[in-house]
Amino acid sequence: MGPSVVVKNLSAKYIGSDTWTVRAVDLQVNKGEMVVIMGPSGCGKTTLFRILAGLVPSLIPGTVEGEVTVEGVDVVRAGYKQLVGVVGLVYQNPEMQVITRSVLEELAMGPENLGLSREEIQKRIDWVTHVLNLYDLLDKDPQSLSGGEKQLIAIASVLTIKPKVLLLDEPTSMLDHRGTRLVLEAINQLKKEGLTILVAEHRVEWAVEAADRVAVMGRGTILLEGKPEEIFSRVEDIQRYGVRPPGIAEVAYELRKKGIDVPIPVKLEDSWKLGVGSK
Amino acid sequence: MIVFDKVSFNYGDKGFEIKDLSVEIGRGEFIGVIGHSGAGKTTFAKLAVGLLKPISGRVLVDGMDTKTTPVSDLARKVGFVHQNPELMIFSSTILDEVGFALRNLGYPEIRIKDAVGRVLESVDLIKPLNFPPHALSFGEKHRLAIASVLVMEPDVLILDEPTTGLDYGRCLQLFRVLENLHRNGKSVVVITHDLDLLGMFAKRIIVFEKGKIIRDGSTEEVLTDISFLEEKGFIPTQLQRLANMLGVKKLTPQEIAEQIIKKKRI
Amino acid sequence: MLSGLYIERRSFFHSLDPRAKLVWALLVLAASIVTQFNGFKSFPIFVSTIVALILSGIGAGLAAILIFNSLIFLLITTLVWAGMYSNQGNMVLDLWIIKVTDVGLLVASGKFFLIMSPVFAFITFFVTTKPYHVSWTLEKFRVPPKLSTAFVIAVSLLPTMVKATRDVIDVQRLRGLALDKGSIPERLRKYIPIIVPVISRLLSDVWDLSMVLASRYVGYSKKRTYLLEPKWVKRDTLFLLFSIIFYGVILLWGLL
Repeated sequence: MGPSVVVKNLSAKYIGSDTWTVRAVDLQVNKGEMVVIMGPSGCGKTTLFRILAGLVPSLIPGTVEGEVTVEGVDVVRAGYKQLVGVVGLVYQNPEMQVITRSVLEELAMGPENLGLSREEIQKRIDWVTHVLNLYDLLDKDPQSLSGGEKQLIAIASVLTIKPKVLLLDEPTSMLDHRGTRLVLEAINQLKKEGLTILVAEHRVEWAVEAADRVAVMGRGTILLEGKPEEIFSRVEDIQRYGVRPPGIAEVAYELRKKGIDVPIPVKLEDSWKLGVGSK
Repeated sequence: MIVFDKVSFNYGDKGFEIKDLSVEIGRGEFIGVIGHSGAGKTTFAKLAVGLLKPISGRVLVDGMDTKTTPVSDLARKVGFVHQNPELMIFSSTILDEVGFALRNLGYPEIRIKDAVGRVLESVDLIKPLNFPPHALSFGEKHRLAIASVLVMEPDVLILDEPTTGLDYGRCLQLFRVLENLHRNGKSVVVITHDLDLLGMFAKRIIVFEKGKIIRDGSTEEVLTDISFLEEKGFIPTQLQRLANMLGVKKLTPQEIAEQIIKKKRI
Repeated sequence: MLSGLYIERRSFFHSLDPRAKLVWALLVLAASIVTQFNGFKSFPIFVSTIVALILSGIGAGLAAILIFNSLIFLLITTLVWAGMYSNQGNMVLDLWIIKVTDVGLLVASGKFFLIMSPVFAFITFFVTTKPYHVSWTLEKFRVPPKLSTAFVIAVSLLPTMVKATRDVIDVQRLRGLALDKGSIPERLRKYIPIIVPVISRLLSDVWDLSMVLASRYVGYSKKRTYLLEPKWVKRDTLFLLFSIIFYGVILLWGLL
């Protein structure tokens, strides 16, 4: 499986600003991989996503330097209008992404605007309904749905444009636990469908289970990058970078501070390494 | 301090209803209120500050009945910080913004400047008084909103989902500010989904479901009850699960590590 | 967010084809313009729009609120227009400086209905037609798609603004803002703490909305597909015919 997203030495700043929001970022995501990006606000992850989605500089003016290729397309030169079927971006706030009075309209909106045939539109709606299990929601008014359900519909509406790469910018930060579960399960399901996924998320304890790789960003650049086990066990480093380590790693770290030699697990199933629970 | 006495309330449309709710918020408490959206947490907060009036029953704030006391009088006892700080901000300087409430109450300018300075310090917002609020970062705007409410010197501060849009570092900073206020005698009530932070800072947890309080107990007792949390659709944290596995009611990494050593697991 | 004025109900007007409804509203407008100088002739138009509101299933309650609020407007209109025509026709009411003649009354009520009938008609249209179908209808009437989208969005942002305003008022009340005290200039200044946050909210909503519309490729293709097109049925033809006859007669009567 070759590379899907290739970012080389990317730097970007918005118009009228002297600060570089993104600085010298190198990142590669392979097809079918899920990469979770973590970092405090202002670390540049939203800007990175906007560039990957072709919104900067074509819709939001700014300076972009470096190379960004998504599925072979130079996104900076192409602009978001050429990225139909390449990239989709889901935002944080479910309230602002649901704009019609019927779920069916919501799902059909993208393909309708693209001028696709009615048969093709129906086919895509059927596919997304099946993948995300939206059968019970189809005939409802989106305004009456819960936050999590709205976010699910938002994801589905982006999927009907059939992107190969899905970007989700903090999709659960405005949701309650029920909604979070719904959305995270949907993301897990989409991974199984073979989509390449980049998620900006702060829920470390989910990322350790779901992510293939994790990148920690800070002040516009990538500070750490690698597999969850490698990254999240570096308790002091990630704390310094504004990321909360998984609870189990914090406990292991405390044990080590008391002189007890234990490894630093990141998943709960490895709690036996600390003498808690069984293998 | 705040007493709900058999309060009933509904919005008129079918579905949501609060019926015969009785609960007390005392002085000097740090309470976390959790529940899914639509469970009634914000309605509860609005009833507590008098923005909504009970249909039957009473809400007493330091003895005053919310039905008969003006909202601005109640605001000097209970402060309410809305989820979105940008809904409050309209002034061109921090002084004007934070001092707005005191100006409305008729305080003299010298007192206002003094009070604003003190309250900004207590929320860790170190900026000149003539700084424009719209130039603040989102986290700073949050602290500004809290300052604008604190300046009326309420005894209880209710915050509705203050962690929305804040990263972990800023959330910690915010909660440390709240802890400080708590240590100085104020009651803090935080409506949030973040069980981690509540585990670290809150002393009491109230759980709402469909307009009812289904659990009200100490943080350690409620947050280590994994089966209860999972049954009600919450996502327990790793620390909570570990505590549960060890059979202890402790929620910080240090305490759990100590328990592991104590139980000779290692 | 874009919840619009649309209210989900089953009603006579909800079941009509949006094209028929738009033609009806335009007929109301035309007839009201022609009869604006004679309230006696434009009264049946007004009654028809009240009937329409009731047949929209929004409840007599909401209709009553709308009518009640418009009565104040009626009073002002009457005084203004009656004053302008106070030297024509026979005196009906002579109270201090208020001189109302029968001609004055007719003109006043005509002007009142000129505003209220089309307003009620278009409220009926938007309450019973989904924004999706509104933009579809506008496109069928050859309104350029970008314009019709912009229009639908503008109308849809209204309820969001209403809710935001209510939230802002609540929050500022807690800070001691008393809107019902003070002289007129003082009271106007007191609206600043409400207007500023609401406008900044409007701006950020518009920004958010434009991002979402961009990601849904609005305006991408000149030929947009509509998956769910309304079907024109016999009931729509009957309604249209009836409307043309009813308002047509009134129009002619008004021209006489």
